[in-house]
This record gives sequence, structure tokens and C-alpha cells, in this order.
Amino acid sequence: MSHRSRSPARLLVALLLVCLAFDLIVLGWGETPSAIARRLFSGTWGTPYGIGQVLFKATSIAIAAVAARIALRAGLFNIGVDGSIAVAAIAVGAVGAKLPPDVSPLVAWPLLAIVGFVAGGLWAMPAAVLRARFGAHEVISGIMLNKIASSFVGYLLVRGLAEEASVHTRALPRGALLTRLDHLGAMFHGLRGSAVNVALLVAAVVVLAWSFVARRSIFGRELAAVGASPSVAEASGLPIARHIILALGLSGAVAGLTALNDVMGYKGYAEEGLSAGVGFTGLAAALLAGESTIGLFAAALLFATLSQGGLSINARIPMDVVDVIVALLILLVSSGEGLSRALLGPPAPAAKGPTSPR
Amino acid sequence: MSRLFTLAFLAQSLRIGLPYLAAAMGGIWSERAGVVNVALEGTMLVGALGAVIGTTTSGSPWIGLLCALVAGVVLQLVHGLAVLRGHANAIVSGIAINLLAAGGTRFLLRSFYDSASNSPSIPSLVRRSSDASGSALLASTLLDPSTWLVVTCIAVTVFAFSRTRFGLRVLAVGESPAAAENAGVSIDRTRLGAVVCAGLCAGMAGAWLAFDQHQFSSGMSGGRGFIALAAVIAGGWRPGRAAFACLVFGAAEAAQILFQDQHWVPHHLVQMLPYVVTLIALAGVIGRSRPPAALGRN
Repeated sequence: MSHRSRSPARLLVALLLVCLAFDLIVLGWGETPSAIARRLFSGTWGTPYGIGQVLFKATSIAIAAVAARIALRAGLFNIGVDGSIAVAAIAVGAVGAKLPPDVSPLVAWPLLAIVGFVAGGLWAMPAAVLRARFGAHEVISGIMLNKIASSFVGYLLVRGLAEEASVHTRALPRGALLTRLDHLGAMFHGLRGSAVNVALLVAAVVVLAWSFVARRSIFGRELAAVGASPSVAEASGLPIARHIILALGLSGAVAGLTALNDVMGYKGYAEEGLSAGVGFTGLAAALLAGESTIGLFAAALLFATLSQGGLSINARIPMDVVDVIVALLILLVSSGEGLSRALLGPPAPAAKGPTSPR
Repeated sequence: MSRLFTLAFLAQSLRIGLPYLAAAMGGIWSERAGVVNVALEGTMLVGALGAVIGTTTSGSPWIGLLCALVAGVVLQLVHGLAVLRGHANAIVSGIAINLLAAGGTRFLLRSFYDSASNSPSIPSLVRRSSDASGSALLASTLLDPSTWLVVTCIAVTVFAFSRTRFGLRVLAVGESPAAAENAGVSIDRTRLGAVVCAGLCAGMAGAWLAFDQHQFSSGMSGGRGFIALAAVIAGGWRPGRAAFACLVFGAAEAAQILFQDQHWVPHHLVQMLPYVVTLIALAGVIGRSRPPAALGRN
């Protein structure tokens, strides 16, 4: 499958083409590409605050990307990550607000992480079961569950979860908030004002842990077998339905961990639309990164940069240009192999062969 | 409950079902040829914006309709080429196309109308009466040319698959590409043709939305492309049954609108109705509906 294998050369060509497209769009809008690019850079990597914001956004994107990648390993597209994220956020907000005011972080952090994990995983269950038992397409059921999730969250907030006269849950006690990086020491003082917090470390651990599980564990290999060919995997005795449910469930559960970053690390409460769209960006990052671990970190940073940078260029050119660029990049990377073959003739025999997953 | 059995409700269900009908026919064209098409959502979106830009710049909604169809075809061709020539995974391509459409239409909305949310208002193909009674709504829906364009989409699709050489070729490359190729049918060209038909139908669906709401608003397709695709699957990839599923989804959405101002049921829960119905339909039909044999294998 083409979304698993990546060649650095093709990736580079795709990036160059996308930069060209960006230039053309900017010129078409009537701005100079270099000025917009400079603005994009200075709003992100140009200041300590910008770097902090990029890292903050990359945290959620990386976690969501791992969630997407878990499902992708089994050949499934978990579009429902956004729904899991929304429901996990409200669950963490609701449980967190009920904790005693003097709760210790040693209790609150793991407890709320488990709440987010379980809530996200539970929300993925309908799509998982529909896929495993009835063969219902997970992309369509994922979209439907995302829509249902946003109504559900709205319903819960209106029916008592929201603080009086507001649209968000009551504030989490101090002990349930994740430490901002700028509070960790003089080294990080420059990040002040940005929302980057220790959830960044959680994201890094999640990425590395899944890479290890995917490659080294029997479970990871079995998922890959299911993803490569369900019929072959079934013939060799793997319980396909169970693996599909596990893959989508674990995917949703990991997605729920984004609540650590957005609810416990940033807002301190849950509200409707918090971290909306992060799941989709995570899926895009996972598609771009293929199977590579470094690629996943790079893709998360790239999309976080574009998302934060979009805000700083929005005054000059609509930030939606970023979505266009990301879409073109995914299109080019996913169809690059076939297109280059169609345009440049067949590749050297050595480059040929099955592109089956490792 | 009695309000469900009125002429107004029937008219409303039909009206809401129309864009689903058109988009579902698009889905059938593409998927019967073997090309998985989650890009219907984005195609509806560019169709809707195409209709608005065409109408505001030319002054004629008919030109707007034409622009919608062209925009739909172009976007579907990108999808078709990425999948057929680029050998991209069809779902990856569809996801990227939907993102392209969502970002691209918002970008164009700002370049044309300097607005982040919606376009100025446009006239529809014919002026609709403001009478809100059930019979007037039904009559105006039935007299609207865009209704008949959707009906034409369905009729042409049904006719093409049963009577025309092209339609039979589409079915052949979707069921048994190898056999079709042996019989001298070009697989890629036939599939591209089917994808063009998908673009026409889904573009039409988008134009319908724009003319119905007299404007374009950001993200206005609102998941309808996916619901139409669910109708295709629930209908076993057959035009008649898919059309029936679309009307059921239309009725679910009409019921949602009806219940929205009722106080005995929370409106957040009512909002979920069309999506829950879609989920149930997806789960309920499986095992009884068989996808085209070569769907997704290219």
C-alpha cells in the first residue's frame, strides 16, 4: 500500500512542488512569497514564544497522529479520532472538576490520563464494532460519530456539566493542571506565555512506545498482517474482528490523551470545540510520515508550524492557504510513486518489488 | 407525532433528500467502476461555491449551475488521476481532496467576497414563493428546475447502467477488470469517465445546496457527501435502492428540523438523529449488500 512506503527523494520533490504551489497562490493573492514566508517563520520559530506555541500544537498533533497510525497499521482509517478527542476532553474536564481542591498531581495526573484514555477508547467502540461485525466502512461511521460527539458534548454541557452562565466546565483544581514548561526553570523562561507543557513529554513517549509496540510486539505484527491482507491473516488463524476492534479502540484511547495537553495543560477546563480538527491534522501527519518514527515527529512539527504560522500570516493572506498546501502535499506524496512512473518511465529494476509493510 | 404525517413534512423530506440523491448517483458511478469515493463531500463543496461564483459574476444562475458542474468534474478528475495514474490509496486521496476543497473554498470565499463565513446572496434558478404551507412547499419543490435536474441524474444513471454501452463497461471494469480488458475495454479510461459522471452528479448536489440556501457558507456540505455515500452502500450500490435510502435520510433530517423547536426533547439530541439513522442503516444492510468485486483494487 502506497501510504506505507516513502522515498526521501520523492518526498523532497513533493515538498519543492508544494513550495512552488504556495508561491503561486501567494502571488495570485497579490503578496510577495518571501514576505509571507518570513512572516510565517517569525511567527513560529522566530521567537521563544512562537517556538513554545509550535511545540504546544505539535503535542496534540503527534498524539493524534499516533492514534491514526495505530488504526492505519491494521489498514483502517480512523476519521473518528476527532470525536474521541472531543469526548475525552469533556470527560477529563468533568472528572477533573470533581477532584478535591487540594488534590496531589501524583493522583490527579494518572487518574485523568486514564479517564481520557478510557473515554476516547469507548467513543471509538461503535465504529470498531460496526466495522468488525458488520463490515460498515469506518470512514463513514467515523464522520457520523464525530458529528454525534459534538452534539453530545454540547448536550452534556447544557445539562449540568457547564459552570453557571458559561459554556465550559468548572475549572480543574491546581493539582490537576500540567506544569507549563516555562515554570520548569530558567532555561525555559523564554517560552513564557506559550501553552507548551509537560504533555509534550507524554507525546514523545507515546510516539516512541507505539513505534516499539508496532515493530517488536506480536500484537503490532499481527495488526500489520491484518492490514496487509485480511483474508490471508484470517486464513492463518488470526481473529480479524478482535484485531479490528482492538486497533480502533486503542486508536481512540490514545487520541483521548490529547486532553492532557488541551484540557490539563492549556485551558484548565473543557469546552465545546476545544482542539477541534486536531484529529484530522494528526491523520494527515500520519499519512505523510508513513511508517517512520522520525517522520512522525517531523510531520507533527511541520503541521504545528503551519497551523501556528497560519495565524501570523492571516492578516496578509487567508490562513486557509495552509490547508490547501497540506492537501496538495498529501496528494503528491501518496500518488508520487505512480505519477513519477507515468511521467518518467518505469523505475530501475532494483527499486521495484513488493511494497509490503515491514 | 402527527406532524410527521403532513404534506409539509413530505415536501421537506423530499427537498432535503434531493442533494443526497444527486451525490449518491455520483457515488454509484464512481464505486460501480471500482473507484472508492469519499471525495464526494469535497466535490459538493466546490460545486456549491462554483454555483455561487458563476452566478454572482455572470448574473445568471444557469451559468452558475454550469460552473458547479465544471468544478465538480475537475475535482473528481484530480481524485481519479491520483488513484488511477498515481496509484494513490483512494481513501487517502479522498481525504486530501476533501481538505483541499474545504481550505480552497474558504480561501476563494475570502478572495471573491472578502468574507470568512459566507457569500452574498444569489437568486435560484426560478423564484420560489414565500408561502410556507405544506402544499405550496411541495408544489414549489416539484416545480423547481433543480429538482428535475436531480431526477434527470437518477434517470440517466439508471438508464446508462441498463441500456448504454458505456454504462455496461463501467459495470464490467468494476466487477471484473481483467475480463473487461480482454474484451478490449480500457480500464483507466472507463474509470475516468465514470469519475467525470461522479463529478457532474456531486457538483449538481452542491449547486442544489447553494441555490437552496441562496448563498455559499463555509463548510456548507456538512457531511452530506458521506451520508450520500452511506446511502450508496445501504442501497447495495444500486441506484433505486440508494435513492430510497437517500429519501429515508432526508426524512430523518426533516424530522430533526421539525423537532428542533420542541421543548420535550433536547435539541442537541435531535441534532444527532440523521447521523444515528445513517449509522444504523450502515450496520443494518451489511451481509445483504455486496460491493462491486473490484472496488478499491487499482
